[in-house]
Amino acid sequence: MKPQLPISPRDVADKARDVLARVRPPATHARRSLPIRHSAEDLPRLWSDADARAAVLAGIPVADAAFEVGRDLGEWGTVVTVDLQLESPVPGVAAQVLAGKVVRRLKALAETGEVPTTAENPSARTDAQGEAA
Amino acid sequence: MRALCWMGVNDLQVRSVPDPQIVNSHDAIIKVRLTTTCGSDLHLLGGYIPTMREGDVIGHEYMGEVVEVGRDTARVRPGDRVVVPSFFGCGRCWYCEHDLWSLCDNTHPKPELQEPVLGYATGGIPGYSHAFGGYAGSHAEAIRVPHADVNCFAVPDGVTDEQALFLSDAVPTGYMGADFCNIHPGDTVAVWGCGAVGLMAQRSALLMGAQRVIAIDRLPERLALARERIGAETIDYGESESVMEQLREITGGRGPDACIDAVGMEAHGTGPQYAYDRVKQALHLHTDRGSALREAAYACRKGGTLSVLGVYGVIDKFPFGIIMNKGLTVRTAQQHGQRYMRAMLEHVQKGELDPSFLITHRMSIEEGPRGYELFKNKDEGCVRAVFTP
Repeated sequence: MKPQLPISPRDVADKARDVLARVRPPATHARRSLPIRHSAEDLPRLWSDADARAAVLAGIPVADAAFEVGRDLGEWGTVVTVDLQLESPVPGVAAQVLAGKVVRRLKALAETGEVPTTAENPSARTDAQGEAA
Repeated sequence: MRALCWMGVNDLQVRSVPDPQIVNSHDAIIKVRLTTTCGSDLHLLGGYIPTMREGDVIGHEYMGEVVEVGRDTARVRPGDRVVVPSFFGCGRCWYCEHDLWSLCDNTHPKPELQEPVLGYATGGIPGYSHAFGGYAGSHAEAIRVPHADVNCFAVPDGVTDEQALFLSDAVPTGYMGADFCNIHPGDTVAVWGCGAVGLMAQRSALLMGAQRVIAIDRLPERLALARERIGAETIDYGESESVMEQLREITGGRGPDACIDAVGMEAHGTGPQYAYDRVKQALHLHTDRGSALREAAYACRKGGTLSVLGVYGVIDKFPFGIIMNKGLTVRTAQQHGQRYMRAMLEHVQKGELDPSFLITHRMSIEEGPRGYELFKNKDEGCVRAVFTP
């Protein structure tokens, strides 16, 4: 006979979710900043470019995305902040993760001309074609 | 193409997978000529590094021939024979410009998988879990290399494929570990581990001026390589009553000036501390067995340097008081191969460094699962199994 635990793994997971939700309530809004080594004057043009926006926001459930250029950090670049309004609430941590992904993509695009990707990555998964980051 | 794929914990299979494509304009496709097992792959096989997905192509230490380039590559051309450091850099971010290539800001496609654990994401590396980027690995007929102009290094005439292969990872890791030690003439350097990285750290320490290098391992054939191929003195910890006492004896009682951990999270050892690590790792209470790291910190002289090359995940029993109270300098990183490539090639061309002796087994990709079995169990004296796709 399978032994009965006093509390099931599902109960533990639900409890953890409750605690996390209290610490980081669901959010529809997140901001993240990074310094970007690119001409501060040219960054707004990059952000408004349709192709660039599509690459930076690909796969992000965003209702609106804003962008601001901040202070100059010397050889680290110019601080850029991305402000996301998401389509629906997600856990607070996840919202921050999504904002972080967007600002990192923007940084890569501005500094190198491309966004890192695993698109078209060879694998033995049948569903892998077209797989992207 | 054919590729060696991770299909689950301790389950490698050779499968047919799609060919890699040029995706970004700075990419190159490399036809792999040689690719090798690496000790850090064993952490993937054993399930100690999460975020592998069934079907992932593994492998990150390789060399080959450029067969196709993206429209914005300038330096790399089809037909070039190249070696590629395992971590991809972009060449443009602050970290790459400061020669900290494995910390590149712009080559990790999935930083969200790494930031919750590390705080900030590293650069990307092929064939080494999605937390490290998710790029398809090198145990295949071909591999896509992003930012090819800064990551592909032409192999000069006179350097063989077999020599170039290990400049991808084992040599730069060992070379960096010795560089971290800030070696002065007369120094004694102790190195835990006589696998490929440990042996290359030992050789590099001698090249950088160490007077004595002490190699510590338990496998007689590897200790013999350290003595005969490197010129190191050796300690067999399986036979030793106390590695610490032996190191004291060798150094006149003061301890090694620098200690290099070239073992990492799956260290073997002896005594109750090793048993403690094994139980906690088996129960998934932590990912690492840190015997070598702890012993290296303990054995290092006051004010010395602890250079950590072994790969670690989450370790929760680390004696920081040893480091603080003895005033040790700790240096560690995933390897910055691009930084050392010119120096390494020069050493090889001058005949000062020949890593090709690390190859103990050569086989086709089709025999990859057997190669890893030999490598994992260290059967038949396996130091490195090398695959020819």
